[in-house]
Amino acid sequence: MSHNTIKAKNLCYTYPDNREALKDISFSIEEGETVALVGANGAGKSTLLMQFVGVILPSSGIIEVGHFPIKESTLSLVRQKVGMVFQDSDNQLFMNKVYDDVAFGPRNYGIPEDKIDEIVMTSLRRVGIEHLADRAPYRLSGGEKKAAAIAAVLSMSPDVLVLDEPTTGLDPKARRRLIDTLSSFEHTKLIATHDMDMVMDLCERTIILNNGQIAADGPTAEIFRNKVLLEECSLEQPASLMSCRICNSVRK
Amino acid sequence: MPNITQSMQNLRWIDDQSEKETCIHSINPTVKLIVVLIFILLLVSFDNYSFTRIMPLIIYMVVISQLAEVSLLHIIKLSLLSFPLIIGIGIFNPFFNRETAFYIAEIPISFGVISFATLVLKSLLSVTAGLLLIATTGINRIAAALRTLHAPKIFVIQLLLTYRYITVLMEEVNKTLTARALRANQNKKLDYKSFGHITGNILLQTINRSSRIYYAMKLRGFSGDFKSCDRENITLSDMIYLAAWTLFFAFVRTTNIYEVFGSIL
Repeated sequence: MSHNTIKAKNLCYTYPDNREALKDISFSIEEGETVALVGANGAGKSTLLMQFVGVILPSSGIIEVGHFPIKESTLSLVRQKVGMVFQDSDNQLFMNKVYDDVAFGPRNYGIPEDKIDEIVMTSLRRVGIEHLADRAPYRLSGGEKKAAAIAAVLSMSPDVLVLDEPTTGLDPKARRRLIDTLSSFEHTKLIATHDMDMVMDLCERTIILNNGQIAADGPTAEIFRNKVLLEECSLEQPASLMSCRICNSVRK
Repeated sequence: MPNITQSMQNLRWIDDQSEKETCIHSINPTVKLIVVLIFILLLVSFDNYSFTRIMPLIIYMVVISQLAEVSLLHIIKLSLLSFPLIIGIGIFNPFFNRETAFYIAEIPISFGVISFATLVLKSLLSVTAGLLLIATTGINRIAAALRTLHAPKIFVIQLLLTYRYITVLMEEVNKTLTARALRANQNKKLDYKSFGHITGNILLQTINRSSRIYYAMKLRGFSGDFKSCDRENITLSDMIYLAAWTLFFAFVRTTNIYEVFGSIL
């Protein structure tokens, strides 16, 4: 039995103002898969991600992480298994030093202090920022903050990574570094994003959300070739699939 | 906006100071906290007319700031933020108590003026001592020290979260006021009509942002206690630090230093 799977069955969520955010969402992500969750603004991506870590619980339907259904009694376990990286890293880095931020999770889960240093440094090394351990988070660049936020999640040894628009606000070099870092992880990954080129690079499978419903779920290359579907969902093909604006040649 | 930006820089300056590695920074936070508590209790123990008796306590500030390589001038500047409150409390003393205590170059100094000056000095010394403690220890280690002294957990968490959320609130205020200033044309002052909308908006944004930070903490196992607050062992140098300052404070409290010096001279 794999612990690195996530499943949603007939998931519905209605906001307190009776607005339906998610309507009958069902899908399953297998161990080691990297899946993109794309959709226009307000399609329900962030709401769906929040369900996978139990920040909000579904109005109806079931979410399972590693075959554990998410409910009040399993929240602590699920949150240890699923690491969520927020869109705005400033919300995720709240300690005075990067080191303390990365150590925050393991300390809360009762890991002995003599093992904390090894865990923190290993996590920082995995994202290539071990030299920033003693820096204050507010002094970091956007890319460094994102790397620190990912290290903070990795330090809890999660089986599944859930990332909310990880490349937003990053310069091209920091974005490329982040993509390379993410591609080196063996975790099961669910990535909500508008960065279609990152999806092409990282995700073998894509789920399109449109008005709270799944509009498509399948291989990324196949979905991104379907221009009609993308337009219906207010999306666009990635630049790497569009024709060149200078010489007008069509890329393969 | 510059005021808010300045305040945020001041908070960050204090955090930066606490990362230094000097002999004062290496003292056990519980010991430093006890010394500051004794210092404040000592200040409170002096009566309203002990201005000159309190003056020698400035030595404590000078020694700590010099050894910790923290600018005392900057700390005093930050302490002045509490000045309006102190003046509000003591401003009427000179009017209520006009009895002349002594003359300086034929200018009568009333007991009211002395009590006001004493209140100002006591308050500034207390605030400066608190800021010096944060600048040489860091808020996390102070929280750990409070827990060591069995301060209630809820109180310590409140202290830590307030310290964190102050910057969140300031960032939101800064953003909103900048957005307003960019479209306010010549109306630099905030009129009462837009005041309600802006403060309400800032409150909602702050709650929103705080919620996201809280989620980030909950997702990493936060259950109401900052586990990063490790207890540190007390060493011989900590004991010497505590003993030395306690003796100095006792000396200041029990002896009129001016009389001693006067008799020597």
